[in-house]
Amino acid sequence: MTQALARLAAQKVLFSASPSRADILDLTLPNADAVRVAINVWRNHNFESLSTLVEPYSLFGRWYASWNLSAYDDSLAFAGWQPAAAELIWLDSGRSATGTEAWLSWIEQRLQALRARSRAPILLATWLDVAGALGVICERIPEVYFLDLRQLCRAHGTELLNDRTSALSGTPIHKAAQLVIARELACRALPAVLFPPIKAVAFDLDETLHGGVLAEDGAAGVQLTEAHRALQEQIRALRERGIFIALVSRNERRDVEQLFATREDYPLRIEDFSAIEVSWDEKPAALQRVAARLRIALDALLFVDDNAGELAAAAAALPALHTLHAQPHAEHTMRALHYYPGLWRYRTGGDDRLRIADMQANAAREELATRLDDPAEYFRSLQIQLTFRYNPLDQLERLAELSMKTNQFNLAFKRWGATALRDYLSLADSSIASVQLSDRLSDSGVIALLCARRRAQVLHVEELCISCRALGRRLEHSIVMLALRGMPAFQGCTRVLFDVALAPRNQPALQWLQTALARTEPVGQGTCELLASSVHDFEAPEGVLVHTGQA
Amino acid sequence: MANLRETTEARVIHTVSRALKSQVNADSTRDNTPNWDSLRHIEVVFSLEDELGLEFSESEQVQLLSIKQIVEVVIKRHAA
Repeated sequence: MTQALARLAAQKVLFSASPSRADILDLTLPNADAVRVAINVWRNHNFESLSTLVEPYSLFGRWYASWNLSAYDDSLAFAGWQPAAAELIWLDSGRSATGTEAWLSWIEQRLQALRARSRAPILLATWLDVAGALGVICERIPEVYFLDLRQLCRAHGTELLNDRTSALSGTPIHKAAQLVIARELACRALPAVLFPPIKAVAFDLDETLHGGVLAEDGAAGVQLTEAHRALQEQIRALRERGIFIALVSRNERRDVEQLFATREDYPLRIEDFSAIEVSWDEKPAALQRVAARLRIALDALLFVDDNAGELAAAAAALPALHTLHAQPHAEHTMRALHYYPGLWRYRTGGDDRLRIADMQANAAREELATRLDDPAEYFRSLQIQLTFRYNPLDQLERLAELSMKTNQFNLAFKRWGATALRDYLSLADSSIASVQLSDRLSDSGVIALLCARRRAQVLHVEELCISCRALGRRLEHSIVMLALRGMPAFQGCTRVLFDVALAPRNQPALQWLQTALARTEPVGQGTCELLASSVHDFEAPEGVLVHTGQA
Repeated sequence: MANLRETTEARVIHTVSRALKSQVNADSTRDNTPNWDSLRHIEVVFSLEDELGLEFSESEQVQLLSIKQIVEVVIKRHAA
């Protein structure tokens, strides 16, 4: 509890309107429950003074970096490279004597060289007059991201460069810009490539989404300040990016429903919340129900409340939960939410936006499942369609998300990024399958990934995950069997081996394998074997339409 | 003038101690203060600028090598 309280106390300093460098450096945040991450820094100007500013922000987000700093190297030779979770190129582009075109060509070549050496995401942090061209180069290379420092500072009204202190500090970056960049690196740019995303944000109501107390002031009496209105609009924007919004409030349900029905000035509508827990129940229990309803793990849930005691109690009961302290001035809450690590991503794909509609359709699916005992009738009534694609290069980013994020139906826990998947495809006799799921209620998008290699007559399944959004529809076995059967690498195999990793939350995957193998005892860490004939002989269930898409 | 010097010295000692995360005194210099390395020196200068509300020129920055020298530079600024 003390660690959560220390973070909440630091929040005021870290996300104040004008953070003070000295105040930030004075903070002592706990690191006992923080994740250590190795990051290579390839640089030609000072990074050390920035790294000291990154640390308080990263510890707020429960991580800290172990920086492997290169020597100052204008040539980006990547000397002494060692494996790391991320590669940061920290480049003063003003040191180049060549013209812009030549520099762009050179940086692309250096990014390609690092890409060939490292499977980790690469973040290029620099500035250039033709930043757009640099962005295009980065988009061309898998898992390379561009942090445009000039644009970042412009958006914050901060000067990027300052010659006056460049000799002193070893970097032309202005001291005020260093704060902006450190916060961006620690809270957004690096967490976006290092960690699974926050998938849902649960909000308290009173003194969080509005000023005042609903039970005392009534629906007409609670105050929607301009800042609270802006906060509610920010929350709606999160929802549009595919992040679930939940309401967790100690109130009477009918009062809350009346509030949203009568306050037309509220940007948020009650139907915007994918889960609503309004009761006098303890909040940790309510938050657990929210996570279960949204089928997400607690470490993908952020809880925002104005009551520090409630937050600390929730954090103590649910250590994986993320917490944020809503302030009386909602501008602060907005800033802290804007920067909360894991909420921001470089790219938001169509699959993210499908998530909310898909979840809303689950209630109807569950109702059908209880009403229709016959699986064929259930599948037919939903008009379920499965589309299988093999070695789909255009889906590698989404498939990497599945590998990196899936916790429940994840059999091997390889945590492969897009670069690793691309490398996998270049191996002899390898196949990658993607599975897309839709029914008449919603399109779930790409929901499964299987990676396998053939060695002699054995197909070795090295990665297998199914998104939680596809679970509970009686389709898991069909998805795996049909995906394997269609794999080019499977043809002629007599045995199928599955890599198995035991993880805290992958019981659904382990349970599926145990059932598929008709075992009475649980499967263990290592590999498990299935006869290929059971894959050959598998037929798609009646009522499920199966398509095979283009590679 | 004596009052200005004493006040300035107290603020400088406080600010430098905070930046170095260790107590310094009026006789502290970069040479006799182990914590006052080149990385910390950047924070010392930035902290002094923020705390005292001024910006040191490049020629001033190279003089900020001890508490006494910092106090001299700051007092000259006040006199200017």
